[in-house]
Amino acid sequence: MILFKNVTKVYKNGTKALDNINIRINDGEFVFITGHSGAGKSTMIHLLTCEDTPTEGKLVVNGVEPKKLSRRQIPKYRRGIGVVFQDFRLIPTMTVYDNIAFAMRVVGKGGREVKRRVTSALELVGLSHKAKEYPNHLSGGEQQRVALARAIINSPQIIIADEPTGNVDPQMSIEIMKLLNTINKNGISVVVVTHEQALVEAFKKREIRIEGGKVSFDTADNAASEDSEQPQRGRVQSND
Amino acid sequence: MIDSIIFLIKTAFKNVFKNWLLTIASISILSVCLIVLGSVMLIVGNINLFIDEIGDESQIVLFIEEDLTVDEITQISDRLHSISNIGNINYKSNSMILEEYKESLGEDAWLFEDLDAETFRNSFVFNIKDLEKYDQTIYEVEKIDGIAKIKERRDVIERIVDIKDVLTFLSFWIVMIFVIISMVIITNSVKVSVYAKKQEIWLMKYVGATDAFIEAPYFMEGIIIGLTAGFIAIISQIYVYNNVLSPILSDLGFINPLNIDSVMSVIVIGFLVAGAIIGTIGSAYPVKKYLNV
Repeated sequence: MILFKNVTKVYKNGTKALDNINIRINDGEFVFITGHSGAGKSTMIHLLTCEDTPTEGKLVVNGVEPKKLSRRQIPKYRRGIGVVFQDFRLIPTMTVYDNIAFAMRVVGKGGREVKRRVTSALELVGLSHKAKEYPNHLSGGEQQRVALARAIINSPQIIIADEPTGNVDPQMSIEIMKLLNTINKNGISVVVVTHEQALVEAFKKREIRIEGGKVSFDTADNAASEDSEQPQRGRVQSND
Repeated sequence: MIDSIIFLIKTAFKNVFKNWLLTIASISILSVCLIVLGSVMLIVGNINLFIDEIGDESQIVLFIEEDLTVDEITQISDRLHSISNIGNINYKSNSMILEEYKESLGEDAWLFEDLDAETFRNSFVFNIKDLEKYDQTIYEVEKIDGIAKIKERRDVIERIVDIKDVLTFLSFWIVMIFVIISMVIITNSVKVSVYAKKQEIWLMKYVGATDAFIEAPYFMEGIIIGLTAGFIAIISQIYVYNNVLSPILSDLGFINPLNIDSVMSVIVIGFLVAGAIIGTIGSAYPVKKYLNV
């Protein structure tokens, strides 16, 4: 579960990136975070990955408040989150297999476990036949699928995808989103940060729109108001 | 655990070979530094040996009072033997001194034929072991009863001690300068490795690798460079000493160069330990400053 409660982030130069944000993303949920560039989406990712801390308010991820973690506890916290980037961030000198295995090896895993899980992740993303290829021999969509396999390899509870379809063609965008959907069906929460409204509309998932550092729209709120007898899901009220 | 260790060692060696040009430069310069350091130490060692030999030869003569009994002379001898910094103590009676003079004159010994042994004073002759404690030792000797006069060569001793101090001071700073140069070069080598692997380091951070896991290969890289340089320096040092330094010192005429075999264990352990330490410290700075994990 991800909980932003009255979260405000003000950078040293005075820029207010997030302004009293209240969001709840439940376990196993699939959420789109949309908004124009500079809206505050990247700041949300930085807070979630513990690269930065909120200036005010409380952020809780998987029952942990990242702000309260010591330097030594941060690596363990990050193992619970898989991140996918727009520019894939694959290591060009490593094969597809090694790019995925790398994420396991650097957290101290090795041997048969690496082989078994990398093979299974490659099957999931449909790239078993490209295991020995280098990233620069792959298309954008294939590279992003490798990045997805790397993100899930350590069994995180949450996947954060930052503009995952930004560098792939429309057909492959749909494939990437379907893969994320499959991952989500395995119980992993998926947070997709995007500005591609067409994609959001095509998949009919919860959408949280950020504008000027504030939540301007959350489909969970609309669903709750349409059916007041349903327990409220999504946005945290100020009296929560 | 074993998989992790193998992965770290592999990564460290990959770093070393990937930046091979800088690695060769680091190893070469550190080797030269260690050879210079070793050469300075060996020269200082030889000079110290020479100074010790001079010290052994610069005897102190202790004249005792004329009317002492055998027991009192024995007591002085015992007191001298009880002072730890005194060595090679010899008693010379006035008749022994007269005989020595005659021997030294050779054919002209007849000149001393009519001389009475009473002309000379009974004395003790000895050496100071540690010249740094010269004043303190002489002070202890002066407190012994029955001493008439101490004939010492304080000026010579002080000059020897001064030379030794200057050499020690100079060698210390030469060594320090070379150590700093070596560290700067290793720092740059590791810094380049860190920059080259910026994306990998960043990814390691994101997937939850610990600080120690990210830093370890770069520390290892420094140690590998240090140990390799140490190993090369050992072989080179033996060659340089036996073929260059030792003949030069020998040609000076007054130094009998020490055999490198007698200090081989010091050179081997010293170079490898110095290489590893310089490598570790040299890599610590860029790891902490540029890794930013």
